[in-house]
Amino acid sequence: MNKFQPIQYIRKYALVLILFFVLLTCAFRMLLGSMQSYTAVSVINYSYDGAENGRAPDGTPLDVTGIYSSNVVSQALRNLGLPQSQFPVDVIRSSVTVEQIEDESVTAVNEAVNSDGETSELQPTEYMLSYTGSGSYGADLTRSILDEILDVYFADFSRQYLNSTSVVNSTSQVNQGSFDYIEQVELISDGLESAVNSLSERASSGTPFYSVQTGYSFHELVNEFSSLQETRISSLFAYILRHRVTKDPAALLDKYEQRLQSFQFEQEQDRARVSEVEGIIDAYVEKLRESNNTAQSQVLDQDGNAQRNNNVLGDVETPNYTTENDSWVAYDQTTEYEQLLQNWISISDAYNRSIVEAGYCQYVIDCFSGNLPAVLQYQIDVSQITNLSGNDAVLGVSGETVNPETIQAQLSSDVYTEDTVPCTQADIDYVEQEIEDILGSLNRLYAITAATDAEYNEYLGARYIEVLASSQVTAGLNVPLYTALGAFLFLVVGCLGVIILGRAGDILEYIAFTDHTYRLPNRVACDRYIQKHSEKVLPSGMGYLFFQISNQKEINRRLGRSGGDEVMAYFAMQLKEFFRRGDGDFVGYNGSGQFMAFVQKTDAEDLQSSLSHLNLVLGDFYAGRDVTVEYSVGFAVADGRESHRIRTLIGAAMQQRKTYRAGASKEDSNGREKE
Amino acid sequence: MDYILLRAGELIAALSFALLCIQTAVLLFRCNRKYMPVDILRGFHFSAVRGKVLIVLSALMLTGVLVLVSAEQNRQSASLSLVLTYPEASSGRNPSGTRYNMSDILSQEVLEDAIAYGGFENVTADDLLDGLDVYPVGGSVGDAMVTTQFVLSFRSGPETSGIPASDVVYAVAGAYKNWFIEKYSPNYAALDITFEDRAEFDYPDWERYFSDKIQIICNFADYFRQKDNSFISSATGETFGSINEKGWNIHNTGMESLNSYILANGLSRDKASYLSRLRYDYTNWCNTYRNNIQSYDVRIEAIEKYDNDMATVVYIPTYDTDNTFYMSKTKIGIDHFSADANEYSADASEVLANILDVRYLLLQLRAQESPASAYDRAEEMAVSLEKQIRDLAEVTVKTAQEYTDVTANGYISITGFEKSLSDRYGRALVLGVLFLVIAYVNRALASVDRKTEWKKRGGDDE
Repeated sequence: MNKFQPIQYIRKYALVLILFFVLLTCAFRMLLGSMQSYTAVSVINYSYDGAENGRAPDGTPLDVTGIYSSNVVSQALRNLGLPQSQFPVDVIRSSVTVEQIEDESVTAVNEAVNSDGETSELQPTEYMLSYTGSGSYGADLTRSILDEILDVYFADFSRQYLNSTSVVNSTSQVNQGSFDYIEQVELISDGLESAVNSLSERASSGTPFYSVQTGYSFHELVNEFSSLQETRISSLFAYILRHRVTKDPAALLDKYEQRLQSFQFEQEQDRARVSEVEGIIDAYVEKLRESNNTAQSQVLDQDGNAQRNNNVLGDVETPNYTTENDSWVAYDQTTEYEQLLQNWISISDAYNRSIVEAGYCQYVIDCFSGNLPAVLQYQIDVSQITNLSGNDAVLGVSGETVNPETIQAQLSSDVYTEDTVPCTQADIDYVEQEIEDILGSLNRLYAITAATDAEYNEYLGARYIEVLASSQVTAGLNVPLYTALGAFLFLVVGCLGVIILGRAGDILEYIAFTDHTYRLPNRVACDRYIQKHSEKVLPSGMGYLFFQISNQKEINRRLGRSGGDEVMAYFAMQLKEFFRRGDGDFVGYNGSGQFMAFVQKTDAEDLQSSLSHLNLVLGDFYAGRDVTVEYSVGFAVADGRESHRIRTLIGAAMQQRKTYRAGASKEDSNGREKE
Repeated sequence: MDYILLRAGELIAALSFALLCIQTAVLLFRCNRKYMPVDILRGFHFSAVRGKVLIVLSALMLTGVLVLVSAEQNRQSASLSLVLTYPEASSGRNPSGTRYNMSDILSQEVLEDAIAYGGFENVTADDLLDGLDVYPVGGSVGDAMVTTQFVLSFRSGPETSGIPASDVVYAVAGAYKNWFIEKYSPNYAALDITFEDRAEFDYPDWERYFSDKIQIICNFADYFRQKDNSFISSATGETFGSINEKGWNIHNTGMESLNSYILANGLSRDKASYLSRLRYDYTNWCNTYRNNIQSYDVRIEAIEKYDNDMATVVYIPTYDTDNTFYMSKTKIGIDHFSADANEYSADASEVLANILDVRYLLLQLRAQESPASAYDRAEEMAVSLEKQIRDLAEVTVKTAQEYTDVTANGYISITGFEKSLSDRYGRALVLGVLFLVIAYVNRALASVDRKTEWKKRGGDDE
């Protein structure tokens, strides 16, 4: 078998090795690329009072999973313009993690307080947020998604816990429907009142805020809305009532009749309820008093003196509690007696208001039906306001208390009252135009309010939640390093593979194509060699030698089988020495004492010289062993004069056979050519 | 094309190096197997190496290629530093108080602005985005550190290779700075006070009209006063407190004069309509007043109804806000009813004030028939008031702008990373020298191998 030469194998399969290396390295690089992921991390801190107790600003339990709630994530994706088909919301959500960061000082406080027998459940307020995204979208997009989620969450946090009232434009299309003009103005007025109330809350919240987007603060918005309410809406109401502007007088009157009826029913109901509740209160107190169960009921002692019982407990009871899931429950401690009085107040209020509302409804009906005396009477009645002391006097022009008859006589009829006039087309056009203009102004204001409010939510979110660390992005895999390691591994594996492959080939060749006695390619290998070259044109200088041991039987008989094999093996070894000079040369055993050799880059002279030399070497050796070997040799060289086909070359060699004798017969001289 | 040439240049240089190294490694391996180290070392002698001129020429050629490649690489990649210089930056906020988002640097809006800003043609925002990268300086994952400095870098791609990379990064940084200032610096739109719509308001409404305008200034000044009460503008000599005070002075004096003049003379553009509106308001206010008074009365009655036997309280000794002894007590229903009654009483008083105003206005408008000169006079007063308000608004803007300039320090500072000659071409020269050395080793080994083979075949040593 061939000597183990790893480098030779590598050289032999160098091309395969390089291809294997390049392809696998590229494939590995692509695989790493597809496995790559980026993780963006940020740290936030809930910095408001109560956060350390795990509470949101409104006192409810703080739920940090809101950071990756589906509405926050989907809004973030919308803001970034990322399609949900490519970035499914739940996939993003599952890639976001929120971890509470341990705070040693909080733990220490809890331990110290708990060790004193008290209960402290303070919690750390810092959280680490991370989002892990696919490597195919890059580090920047990963960071952008986390940043956007945080932005949306901050605004959402504010909307949920801090700025929960909304200012909605519910009147933008109010003039497109079937509402009558006065109803349209009523709806606009209600919307304005609601907007002013909501915005006033924000303006008075004590948080200084100016929108950089709109340039407005909530104070300006309140002023704008209320200015609209106080100037144009009032004018329009007055105009509609005075000019009886309506789309359908009959329908409008029906509606107001209906309303009036409802108010009257409510009054009846409330009046009855008030009496019932008063009865309950009286019965309740009476029973408690009789049962001596009121807090300080007067009782008679043994001596017959009146004294007060004291039923007040010494300790302060706290009925408020926390449930198993840690939610705080403020227990309602209002006593039934006070609840009854509260009901009485509510019903009385409702009763009084329904009287006022019913009066107004009747006034509107009177206006639109042209009942001028009733209209004037309502205005006079309304102007008879009662002062705070509750007497029948009214306030004069400069605030002094005057007799109501004075007012009525001097002012009411000609100052506070106004009759109505029938409606014309010009009045309708005017009112429609006014409503259109007011809605235009409102739409503009609501748009500014929405933008200001959105920015306010972001602002509040950032005030209540601090950012403690900017978003940092790390790669999941160090692709260049792993690629280099992989390439090295593939190179090593490739080399080993080539060596194993080459060596396996050698072993196979040794088993199948080698004559184990002479350690030369066997007959099959010789045939294969000839077959391989039979279709090729042989290069010039290629020589063929044919050797036939002619006295093999005699040698075997004389030296025995093993001795004969030894003689033949030496012969074979020398043939290898002399004729296998380079990689392209071939020496083989063709069976039955026949050897053959193909030698590259030779000529007849060289071969003849080598044969002579061989004969001498053989002669020396065999003489020492006292044996004579007779062999015939034929050779031919492809040199242009003879055919360059292998079979022709073999044929030519066979025709030039000469016999040699090498060995013990001194008389024949060592290695002499016999014929 | 530049992009392809650059990549080709890089490939040529890399291949040249790779081939030379492989060949040298093979030669070294072969020589190491065949020859003694001393023979190999002898072959490195300067006189023993053949083709020295060729070695130098090829090294010079490769160095030339590397220098060209470096020059093109320098042209096609650049980076700069963006530093947030306003006070809120260190707490991770924008100047407006909202959360700072560094991803905005590479937003579509900014990149489109950058394309316009840099005058780049046939380039889209996505093309720029492919080559741009931004990352914070300092801090690592989990560190409690808010970064205020960012590195913006750009490496040309096939679509952008015609544009110098430094132009791209400066265009993006410039566009971002403009976008940022536009979006987050104070918005003075509210102070751009105009009086074009005054004509839409009737004379008695001017009080409300001018009051709203003055309040815009006062609120704005107060907002800045809360930020910095001591800031004095070098341009206007005002503090935000003084501006606020001036605003209220105009409100309480100038506007009051105008208003009392209008009321005294009963001025109105359309008296009939205005009186109609006042009557409606009067009716409404009276109804509101009645509701408040009734609610007040109901609560007073509730307190009276509260049975004496139920009205028991416990007194609790405690401390007040001044840390002195205070006798508090448990609350019962009448406490709440009293508080509610007080609130309704206050509301009723407020409404009553409005009623009295409306009543006075009604009487005045009905009583007076003013000459045209009175209207002219009111107009003059209004114009004068407008001027005062406009001037004060201008002073407010100047003062606020100066304050912002001083504190924000330009919001964002942009600093380019200028490369020295050694940074630009040092690597090319080092690689050229390395190539020269390897090529020399290669030829020396080749000479050793060739000479020994020749000797083996029977040649002389020399």
